[in-house]
Amino acid sequence: MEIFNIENLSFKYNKSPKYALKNINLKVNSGEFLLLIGQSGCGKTTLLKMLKKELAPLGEKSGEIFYKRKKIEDLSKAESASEIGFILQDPDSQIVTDKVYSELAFGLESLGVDKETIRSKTAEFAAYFGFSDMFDRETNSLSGGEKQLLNLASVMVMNPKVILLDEPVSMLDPIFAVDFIHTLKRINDDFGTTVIIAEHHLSEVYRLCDKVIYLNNGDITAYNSPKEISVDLKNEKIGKTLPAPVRLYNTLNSDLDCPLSVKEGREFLSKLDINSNYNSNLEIKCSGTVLSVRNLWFRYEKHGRDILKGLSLNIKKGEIYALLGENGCGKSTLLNVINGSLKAYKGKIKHNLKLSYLPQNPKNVFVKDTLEDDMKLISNSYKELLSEFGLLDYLKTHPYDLSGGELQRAAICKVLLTKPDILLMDEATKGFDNFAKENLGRILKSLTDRGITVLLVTHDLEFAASFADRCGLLFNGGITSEGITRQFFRENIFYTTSAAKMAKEIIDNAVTVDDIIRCVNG
Amino acid sequence: MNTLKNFNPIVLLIYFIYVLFISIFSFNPILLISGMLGAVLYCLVVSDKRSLLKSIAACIIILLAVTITNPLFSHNGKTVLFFINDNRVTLEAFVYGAVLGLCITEVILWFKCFNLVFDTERFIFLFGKISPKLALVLSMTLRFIPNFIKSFREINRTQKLISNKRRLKRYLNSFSAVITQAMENSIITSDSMNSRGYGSKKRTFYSRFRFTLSDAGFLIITSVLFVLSVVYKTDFTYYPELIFPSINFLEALGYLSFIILTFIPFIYELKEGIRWKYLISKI
Amino acid sequence: MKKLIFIPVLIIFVLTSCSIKSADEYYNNTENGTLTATISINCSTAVKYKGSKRKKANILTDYKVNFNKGDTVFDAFKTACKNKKIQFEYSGMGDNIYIEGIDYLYEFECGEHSGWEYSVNGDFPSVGCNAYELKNGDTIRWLYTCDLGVDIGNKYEHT
Repeated sequence: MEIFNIENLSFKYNKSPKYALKNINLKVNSGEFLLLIGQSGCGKTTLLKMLKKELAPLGEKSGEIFYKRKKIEDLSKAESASEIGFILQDPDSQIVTDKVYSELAFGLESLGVDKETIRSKTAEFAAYFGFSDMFDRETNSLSGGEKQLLNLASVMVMNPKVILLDEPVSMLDPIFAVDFIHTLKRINDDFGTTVIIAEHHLSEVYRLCDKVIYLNNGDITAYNSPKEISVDLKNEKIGKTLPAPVRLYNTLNSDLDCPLSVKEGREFLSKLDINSNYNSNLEIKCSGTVLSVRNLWFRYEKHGRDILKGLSLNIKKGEIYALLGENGCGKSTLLNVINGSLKAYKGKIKHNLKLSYLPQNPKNVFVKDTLEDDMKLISNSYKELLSEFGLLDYLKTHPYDLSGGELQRAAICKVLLTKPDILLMDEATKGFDNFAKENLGRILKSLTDRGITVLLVTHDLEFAASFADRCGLLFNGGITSEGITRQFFRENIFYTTSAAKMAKEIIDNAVTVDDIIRCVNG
Repeated sequence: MNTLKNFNPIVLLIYFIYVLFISIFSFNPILLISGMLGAVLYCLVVSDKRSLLKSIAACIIILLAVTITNPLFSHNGKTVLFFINDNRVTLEAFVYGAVLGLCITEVILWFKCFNLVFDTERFIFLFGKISPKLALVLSMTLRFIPNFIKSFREINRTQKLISNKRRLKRYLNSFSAVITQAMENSIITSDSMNSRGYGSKKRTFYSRFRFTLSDAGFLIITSVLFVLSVVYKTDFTYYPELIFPSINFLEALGYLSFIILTFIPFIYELKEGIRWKYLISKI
Repeated sequence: MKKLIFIPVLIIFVLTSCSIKSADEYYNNTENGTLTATISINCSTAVKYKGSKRKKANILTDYKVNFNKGDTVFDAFKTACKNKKIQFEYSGMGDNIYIEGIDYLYEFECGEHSGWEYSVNGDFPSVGCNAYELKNGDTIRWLYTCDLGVDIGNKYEHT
């Protein structure tokens, strides 16, 4: 049975000259798991919001959307709220109330459901999502991943027939992101709930979905199962953002079946004729320590637990050092101790150079109404730098109106005006798609060419593997393993890239898809 | 452990109103001392000793201050201790001051107990009984304020590292930034509320509290005790001379009722504690 | 911290400006004057007042009190009370002294319009008792009213 039927849908925003959606025709069957991919600004979000009456953007619309053969405009507010669930990108701002149980109850309360029904429904779904122990926690105390899971649970409580998700995992740590996607799949399997998800973190969701829709400039360019569509996307720019096994397959022009998971990828590799050793240079290009941390101990409260326990770290001049680690292991704390915002109770930090710091949320760098005013706060000679970063057109723009990538670039610009020698970056790639990440990576490389040293903290293994010179793993308050990037990822089993996982024991030293490709003969 | 919390908040609120009503209007030192003891013992079982000691110290200071200052302003009373200029300082005024001090400290201690029992969830429940929308607003505010403070700190910390502006200027900049961010986020929140049917129907209010048989029992017992202690109350006279009324059977019943009323939280907590220990020893 | 030094200084100042006496000392220290006035204190209205426990209406009847030239009603009243060991309480200072209660009978005890008023030779002066200068042979009456003076014949205040 079809649940959505979109007929000749076109849409144009009021102030925009070009169409955001062009003549979309799509039938969605009940129980399908659909993945919507496409570059930023391709119309993914617009399409999803058009499917939800309350969130539909204002503009010129033509064509029709039917939900269960009923025009979407004719749905009552209560009907639309309970049947069609929507999850937004930002896990935090979506939460309305102060406690987990009241958040779960929010939707049902709005629909005027009686107290006893709410009691049983919230209990049921708290158990399903593993919130039983957190039932009376404050929503503020949850981690990002838990918050997004709570948002999903509080939509599921209303027993929707469809869930629409707009980049739900882009702000989450990789482990939570995987968790979230698996929960989504479980809901789809357990209840037959239709899922339509727009996402650019494809590593898990790509292999779990039924169909992939590729949206390009407001047009459905390709629509097929994940295995089949990979060939169609081969020559598209988006092809570069697909999961590692698919990317490998696409580059190699094989007749075999397209691998989707690491397991299938290893099988695929074993059938190929390959060099079992990737020769790479493991020499350290940098020398001379610019920042040294000795035996650092830190805790937040007098009787609290130690966050850093005798941590030592040496950063060399002109390198990009990526500090990896789980959520809550103390990575951000370490940066704040180094930059002087927090004070360690034991240990030494030695550097005689200018430090600068970029917070996790680049918005926090900006305090004025236009980019220009903000830059003027630091220095008046900002024009040259802005043009170098391609931001000269945005001088009069409010910083918050910039896209994620632009905002990050602008933040780097502002920080560079303070003429730092060492740049500390906290979770620089949060919420970025692959293109924005690559862009950032190139910028960081160019910074090191100027002699700036970069210490970045990240969850993003693929990003670290592609751009860092050295990597370290922070665990239990200390650096447990450290090394030149390639060596680091080669030696780790779990904490490594999916390409390295695929190549393990098949090709030595290969940690990226490009490494593997170079080893394939012919 | 705080098992008193398990009762329905409305029943608990009524209980606290009973105790405070009698404490404030009886002006009877015996009742006030019993009330203080009840409150202190309950705090001793439920809260940490440090904060209790602090409250008791504060109470003693207030008690002494009121006892000493009252005779300086009130010159009523037959038992003259001495004269200051043309004003007599009397024993009655000292006693009255002490009782007034007891009354104030008792109210303070019972508010401490009230705070131990009434957390935000229970407050929101009480408001939700008046209006579900009011409860929602309260709940959203309780979430918003700590979030706001946290982001202000984060922005300010970042600004401190980047910009070399003076402190006041930096605070102002950070404050305007955090307001802008909060407004941006509120758009997302309102989207999230709308998509979950906010305003589609008349709102109901969900709370985890029910009115159970033990709530009814608690309400009946406390109400009976309250009525008994109000009906068979004894009035003390302080001016112009101290008259402590003699107590017969019914007045004694009134006293006993109030003493039991004020000791209920402590007794209940003790009972649950013993029951728990007994269960443990059985295992 | 330097400001804290004012606190003990202030306390010492207040203490020296007060004279502290025992009850015996206070009552045995009689004062003499060359002129005389007659003072009565009466609360018959309070005795009649419903719910009042007051039994005796006359607190002081036609008591001859000595005073000096320039003394006020308040001075004479004070001397009379001292000599006859009658309790009273006042508030205010200078011209604005107001008598709150005499012999444990206070204002507002018999309704919200009750309190003490005084008359000199049958008239109710419109100034405070410490602003009215006495002449030799004046007759002072302190009367308790339950109705802003109407029940004791004070017509002025009511209009």
